[in-house]
Amino acid sequence: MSQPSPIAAAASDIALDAGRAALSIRGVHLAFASRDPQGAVRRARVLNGVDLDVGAGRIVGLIGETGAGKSMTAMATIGLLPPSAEVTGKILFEGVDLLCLRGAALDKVRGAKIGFVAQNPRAALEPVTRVGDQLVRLIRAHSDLTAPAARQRAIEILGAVGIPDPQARYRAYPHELSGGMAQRVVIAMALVNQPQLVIADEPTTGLDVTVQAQVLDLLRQLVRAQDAAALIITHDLGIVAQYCDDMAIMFAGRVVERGSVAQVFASPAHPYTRRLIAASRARIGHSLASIKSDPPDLFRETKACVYADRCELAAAVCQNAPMEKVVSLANPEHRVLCHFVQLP
Amino acid sequence: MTALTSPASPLLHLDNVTRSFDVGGKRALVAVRNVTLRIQPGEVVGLVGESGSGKSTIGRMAIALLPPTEGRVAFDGTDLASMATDDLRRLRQRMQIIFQDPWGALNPRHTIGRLMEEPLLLHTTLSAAQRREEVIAIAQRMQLGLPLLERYPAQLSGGQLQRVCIGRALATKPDLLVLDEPTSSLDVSVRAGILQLLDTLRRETGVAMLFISHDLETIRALCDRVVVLYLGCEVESGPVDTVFKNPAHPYTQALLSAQLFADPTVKTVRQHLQGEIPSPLAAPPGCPFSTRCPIYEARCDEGLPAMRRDSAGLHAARCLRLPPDQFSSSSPTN
Repeated sequence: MSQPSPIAAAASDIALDAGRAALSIRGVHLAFASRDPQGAVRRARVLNGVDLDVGAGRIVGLIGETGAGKSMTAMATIGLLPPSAEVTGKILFEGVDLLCLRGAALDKVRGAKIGFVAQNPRAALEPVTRVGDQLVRLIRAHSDLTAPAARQRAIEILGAVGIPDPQARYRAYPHELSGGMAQRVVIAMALVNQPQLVIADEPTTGLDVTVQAQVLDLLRQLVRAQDAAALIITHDLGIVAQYCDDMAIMFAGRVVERGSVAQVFASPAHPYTRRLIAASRARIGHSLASIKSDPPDLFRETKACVYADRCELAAAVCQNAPMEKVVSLANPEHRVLCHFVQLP
Repeated sequence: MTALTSPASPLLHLDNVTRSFDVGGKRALVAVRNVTLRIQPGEVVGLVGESGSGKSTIGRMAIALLPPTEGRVAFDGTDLASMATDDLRRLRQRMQIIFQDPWGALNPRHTIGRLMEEPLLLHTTLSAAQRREEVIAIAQRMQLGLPLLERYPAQLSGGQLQRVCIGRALATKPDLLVLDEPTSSLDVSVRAGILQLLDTLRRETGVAMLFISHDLETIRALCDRVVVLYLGCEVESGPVDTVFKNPAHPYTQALLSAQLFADPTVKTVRQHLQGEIPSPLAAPPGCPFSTRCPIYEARCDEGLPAMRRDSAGLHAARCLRLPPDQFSSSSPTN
C-alpha cells in the first residue's frame, strides 16, 4: 500500500477485499511537462494520488467537473495516455498492474477484458469501415472464431443493443447511423468480447434526453447480464443517482469522497460533495445554489488540500495534505478526504 | 404574470411562423412549422425540445438574425421584415442574444474590458470615461473581478466568459434577451451561479427572456411559461408549474419521465419511447410525434392536430387524444 498514514492504510484494508475488486487504482499521479510563456518548464499536475475501487459486478459513477481528471483516470487505466505523460502509482486489474503493461500484453486486456465506450461515437468508429466489419475485426483479434462465426456474433450483439434489423445494419457505415444508434454500436463493441470491466466516458453527453435514458438502460442491462463491472464517467449527478451502485467524486486530480450511492447522497461528508448535491437539489426545489468556481491551478505545487481555496471550512490545517478517512465504521467503504471529518 | 393582464401588446410576437431551409435536390427542410409565440414585457418564456426541434431557429428569428419563410415576426408591434437596415440596427439595442458557447462568441484577441465596451461603442454616445465607468458597473453586477477586465478570453473560465457575454448583452439595456442554451457547456456548479445571476437580473431590470434549453429543471427554475417543441412544431405550452405537474402531451410526459433526478431515493417510472426523432426531411404526415407515440392511432396520420386549450386558455397541447373535458376549445393559431 502506498499510503503513508497507518490509519488511512488500516482503513483501506477494511474495505479492500482484493478478490472482489475488478479494478483497484492506488495512488496514481499524472503530470504533463510544458513550458510557460517565459520558457520555463512547468508541470500540470492532472492526477494527484487517485485511489479508486470498482467492485466486481458493481457500476461505479466517477463524477467531477471539467479538468477534475475523470477522463485522464480512464485513459491511464486503458493505457491511452500520450507519450509525454509522467505517471506513477498502481492500477491493478486481475492482479496485474496495468501501468506496467506494454504492447501485446496490453492489447490482450484492452477490448477483451476491458471494454471502452467513448463520449463521441462518431469519433470512436472508423468512418470508412462498415460497422459490422469493425465488430468482426474486434472479435477475431481476441478469439479463434472463424470469419462466418464472428459475423454471426456481430449480428447477435447488434441485435442485443437494440439496433433494428441488425442483418442490414451490419453493412451500414457510421455516418449512416443516428447519434443514438452509433452509440449503441460503440456499446456493442465494448461488450462483444464479454469483458469483466466496461469503462464509459460520458456515454450519453451528446444524446437527447429521451435517447439518453434508452442508452443508459441498455448499458446497465447488458453489464448486469454479463456480470461485468462498469466505471461510468459523468458530470451529471442524475446519472450517478439513477444508474450507479457506487460513486467517487473527483476534484483537482483527487478522489475526495467515495462510497455507495445511497450512503454518499444520504450523508455526504466532503464539503465539495455537499455543495455539488446542494447545487443539483436546489434546482429541483426552485431556488438556486452555486459553488465558487475558479478552476484549480494545476501548475501549483502544494501539499495543501486540493479543495482548500474554494472550501467554506478552510482553515490553517488545510495547508497540510489530508488523508482518506472512513466516514463511519458501519460503512467502511464510504471514505472522504478532509481534515474536518472525525474518525469514528 | 404579465401574460394575463395585457394580452393585446406582446413585446415579441411570432405569428404563425414557418422556416424552411433549401437542402438541394429541390428538397426543403422545414425546421419550424406554424409556430405562434407571444412574449409579454418582462416575461420569461422557456423553449424546450431535443435536437432538431427548431428551438435555435426560433431564437434566431426572434431577433431578426433569420427571416421567417412564412408568417410574421413583430417586435413591440413592428413587423421586423418591414424595417429598413438602419432602423433594425437601432432596434438591436433592445434585443440581444446569448449563445451556448461563450468561447466562440468572444473575439480572442480583445481584452475583456474592450469586449464589454463594444456594445456601448456601437449603440451609445457615451464618452470614453463614461464607457469605462459603465463597463466597471456592469462587471460588478456580473460578479466579475475588475482585474479580469485586463485579461483575454483564454485566461477566463467558461462560467466567467458566460458572465462576460451576459454583461455585453445587457449593456444596452435591452427589453428582450434570447438565451440559446446558455448553460449547456458549463459545469453543474457554475451553471447554478449563472442561473442565479439571470434570475436576479430579470427581477432587477424587468428584461423579458426567451430561454432556450433542453434541460427541464433549468426551465422550471427560471421561467414563467414553457413551450415544448417537437420536430419544429409546438406540441404543448402553458405556465411552467401546470405543464410540469400535469403534462398533457405524450411527448412532454415522456420528456419529463426521462429526467434523471440527482437523488437516488427519487425513482421515476420511465416511460420509454421507441426510436429517435425522425429527420425533419422525412417528417411524418400527420402528428409529428406519431412514429414514437405510445398512444398512436390511425387518425393521428390525418394532418397536423390543432392546438387545444383548457378552459382558462393558458395550457394548450396539440394532440387528438387529450381528455375532452379538460381541453375543449380548438384554436390552431393562438
